Amino acid sequence: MSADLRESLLQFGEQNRLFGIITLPASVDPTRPAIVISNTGIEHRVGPNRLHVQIARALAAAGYCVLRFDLGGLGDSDAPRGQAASSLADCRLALDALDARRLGSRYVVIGLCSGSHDGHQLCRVDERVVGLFNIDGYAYQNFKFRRLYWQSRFTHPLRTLQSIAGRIHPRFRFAEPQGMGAAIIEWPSQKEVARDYQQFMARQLNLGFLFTGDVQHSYLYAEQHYDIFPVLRDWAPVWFLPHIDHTLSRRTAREEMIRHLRKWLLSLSD
Amino acid sequence: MIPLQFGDPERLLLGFHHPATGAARRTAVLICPSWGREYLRSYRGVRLMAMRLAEAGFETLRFDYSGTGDSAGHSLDAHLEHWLADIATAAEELRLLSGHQDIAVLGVRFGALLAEAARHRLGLRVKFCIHWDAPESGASYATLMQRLADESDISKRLRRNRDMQLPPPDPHELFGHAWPVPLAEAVNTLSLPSLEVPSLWYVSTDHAAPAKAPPETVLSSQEAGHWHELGWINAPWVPAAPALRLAEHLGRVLP
Repeated sequence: MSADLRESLLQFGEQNRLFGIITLPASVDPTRPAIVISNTGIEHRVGPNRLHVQIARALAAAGYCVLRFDLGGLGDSDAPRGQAASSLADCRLALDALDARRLGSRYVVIGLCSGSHDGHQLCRVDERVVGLFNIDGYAYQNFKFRRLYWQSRFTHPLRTLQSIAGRIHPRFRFAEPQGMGAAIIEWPSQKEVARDYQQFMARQLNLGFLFTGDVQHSYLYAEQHYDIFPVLRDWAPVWFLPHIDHTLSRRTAREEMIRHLRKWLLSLSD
Repeated sequence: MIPLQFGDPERLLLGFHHPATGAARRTAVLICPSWGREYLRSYRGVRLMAMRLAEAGFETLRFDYSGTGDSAGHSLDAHLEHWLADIATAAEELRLLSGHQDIAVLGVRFGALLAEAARHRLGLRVKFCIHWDAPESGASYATLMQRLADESDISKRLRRNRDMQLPPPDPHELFGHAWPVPLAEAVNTLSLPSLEVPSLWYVSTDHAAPAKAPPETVLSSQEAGHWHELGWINAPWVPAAPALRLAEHLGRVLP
């Protein structure tokens, strides 16, 4: 970590049940929005392969105040007593905590997988959010996707063979890492999301999307998000990085993603 | 639970102090976590363990090694000697926080090897060691991580289209986490914890204690750890019943 950065610990919410870490640049520029990152799936605030730590430190080095925190019931945060955990309520408490410490009044939310869902839902209800950067967020299929999907099934003989063998006997199935689907979230319909994007644009909310090559069940070509949501074409950048996996397990993948993110963020202040 | 930063200002460590809530004891417990994917997988479980120990009357501290988790430092700068020094620093911090001189170290997986190395090489004063599913050696641990990484890559290769393949991993990383060559070489020198200090080998049902461990020092957690299976590596390890069992056991054997 650069000597110019500081990290401070934040306990907030009722009975201080929520925990996060604020990464601060040497001097905070009040004109810039603060950044908020919540959990990806069930992993605690450091993120998969320490991704969130790297994002926070890289963005703080670029002059942003960044909070990464645990939702209730994950990492070092507790669910509210006697109530069901609500990631939306916890995200709003995180914004309140930064507001109260005068570390932000406008926010950009960054989310990967379930974090992108949480970020999207927060945008719907909280006008303090001025930007949303989603990694492997909502994606929907169209005709071109289905054509490419089935084409790939028939032109990848090894995978087809393994798939057939796996159906015959479980020992031929490659282990699928568990946990990614552990946080079961009901994603909204394409129609609902289209309506949300219209509202976000009316609010001048900045959007950015990045899709990795691990969501082949829902995303297969660079223009797919624009084809599904044409309204975004002149509004939000979409990156499709097929050589990157969902948890950004390669160092080079994390660095590439952070480069896109930083560039997008800096473009907001132009 | 009290979060804190401690140690060298150039290499601040993040830790959590769990003050004793049960009848106070004279021994404090330092938890040394595992590394990489195992660290992520067991994070909430380690927290739960700390809470159970605090309820049993033990002042407890858990922390992240430098260059890992929330502690300061770039992952690529991680160094074995730093990690051993971090354990010694954390033990001193725990003495200050608790006012107790007697420290028991609970090493989870790779953390057990690190704790033993800190005791052996840095003269860390420890009254009691608990090795939870300790690997046989640093080399065997690295070999396991490499095998799981290879299996994961093969699985991804088969699931991906030809034009969507992942690039090969960096030589300085292992299963998604920085693993610089000097660190890898140093880890290869780590060996199984010795029997010089009173110890407890706490073992999952799919893990064996070393043959040299006297039977009276071995206790089964009565649950599987699944440390060797790719299919479990992203699943959280939250050993609720084993954590309670261990806390109760330590309550009987430690002052």
